[in-house]
Amino acid sequence: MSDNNNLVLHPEILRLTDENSLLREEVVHLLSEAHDLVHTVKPNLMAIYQTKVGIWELKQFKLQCQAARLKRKVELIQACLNQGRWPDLEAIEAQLEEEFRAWEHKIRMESQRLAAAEERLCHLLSSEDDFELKKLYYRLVKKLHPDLNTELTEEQRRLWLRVQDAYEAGDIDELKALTLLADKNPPTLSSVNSLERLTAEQQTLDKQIQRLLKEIETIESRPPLTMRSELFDDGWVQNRCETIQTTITELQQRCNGLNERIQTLLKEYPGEEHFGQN
Amino acid sequence: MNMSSYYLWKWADNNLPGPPDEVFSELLHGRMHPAIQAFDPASVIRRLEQVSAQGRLAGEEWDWQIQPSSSGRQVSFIFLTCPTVERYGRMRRRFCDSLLDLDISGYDEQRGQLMYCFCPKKNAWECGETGEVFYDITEDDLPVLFRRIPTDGCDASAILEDRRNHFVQCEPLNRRFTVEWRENYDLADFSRFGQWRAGYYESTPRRPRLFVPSRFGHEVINRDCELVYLKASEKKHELIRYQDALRIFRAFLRGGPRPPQYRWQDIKDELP
Repeated sequence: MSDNNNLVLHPEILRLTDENSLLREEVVHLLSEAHDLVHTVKPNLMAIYQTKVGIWELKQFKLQCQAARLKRKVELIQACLNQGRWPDLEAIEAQLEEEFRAWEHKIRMESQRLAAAEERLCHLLSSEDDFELKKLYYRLVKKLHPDLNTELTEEQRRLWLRVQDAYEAGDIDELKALTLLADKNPPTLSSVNSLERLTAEQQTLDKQIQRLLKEIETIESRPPLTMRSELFDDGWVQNRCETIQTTITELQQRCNGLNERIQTLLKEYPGEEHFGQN
Repeated sequence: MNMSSYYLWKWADNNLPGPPDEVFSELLHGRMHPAIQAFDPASVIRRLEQVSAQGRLAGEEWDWQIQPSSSGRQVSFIFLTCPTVERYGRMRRRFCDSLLDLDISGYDEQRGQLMYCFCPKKNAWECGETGEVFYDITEDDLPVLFRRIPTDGCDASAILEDRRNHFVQCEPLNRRFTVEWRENYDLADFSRFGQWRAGYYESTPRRPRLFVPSRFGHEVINRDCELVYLKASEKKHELIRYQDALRIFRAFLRGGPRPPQYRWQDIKDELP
């Protein structure tokens, strides 16, 4: 009986094994890229947009709310005066509070998003850590990604979920620990590599690559990924901010005008004592 | 004229990695990093005298000291101050011409990296656009490094150089790569080299062809170490898939020959 080490493999089997190993590398490459586009690049671009342009958009939105609220205040005061009633300013403010609750909520949400964006950009990984993180992740994708390893145990599936969490959190230590665990229980690979099996595997990997390329193309065709070049173009950013700043100036003038109108309304009419009971 | 300070050392004849920052740090502490070895400075000093003589006539300031100064024939390093060696241009060319064949290397204290003209201990990966350099990488590092190559931009490329000044370089285009392989035959004579671009054989199966937009080209360093634009001349079959680019870079890291799976177009005459 011959020793396994003395087996001479058919050259076509060797060629296909080598080709498939590289195809697997390409699948891992594309899987990691698709994941990064969704979980790293996209949030980072959104954060960059928030801190460069969003900050001005938020100011604009606050002023739009303020202008709309003042306009409504004028209407309510005018309505009271038209009905021969002295406007109860406290009641009007309470009504405005109620009517503009949704707007206020949106302002709070946008402010929180801006603060989160600033926080995110302050805590980006260093180049070295990013390199280490990706290297560990790449290794774990090869071992544990369900698309590449169809015969994972339940424990390995759970491990894969932890890997994703650790990667998204940028937790290098956790990924190192998970690498040790994954190395302990490597996925079972079939030891029989027949020509048929290798050819079938090649077709599956080719299909996966085509699917992933389409997936990445779709991800990249949507904002904010379509705005990558603009966000790093200082001229574009400046232009966009200047346009918003012009609107902000106009809104500020509008708010000033509305405040003056309220003062005038309250001055034009005789005092509270000349009106009947509200 | 900008001045910079450099530490010239000699790599040891072993296979240990030599991250420049670590080597530099050890030298500052008066210790020798295992990746370098003491060397006879005479030939280096002679070349420095030659190269500085021309520069001094043009008003350049050059100064160097051997360290330790008392050690005579075997020194740890030479501390050199001279006009800054930029990424491209005349100073780089002067250093390449006069010192590269002496098998010494040098650290740029201001940049915190190897001097542009010298070779790494084992290898160095440099991203074209960002200029970020990774030293003494392994095969496991390649996939992550490929991911760091920007997919667009005028200088989206990467180059992997070894201690013999051979290199492979790639440029991405629409999720494909053009890959070139360079071998230098004589470090004292830059005209003696071979450069090839990888392509598929007509018979290679499963390789959908892609159109190459004519507006694309390369920025390349010419024989005078200047950066020049070279219009693309790749053929469709020379845009290869990631897996093939990876195979070629791996072969290069192993010090192997160019992988025979690809058709290697001799492009030496296309270079400026």
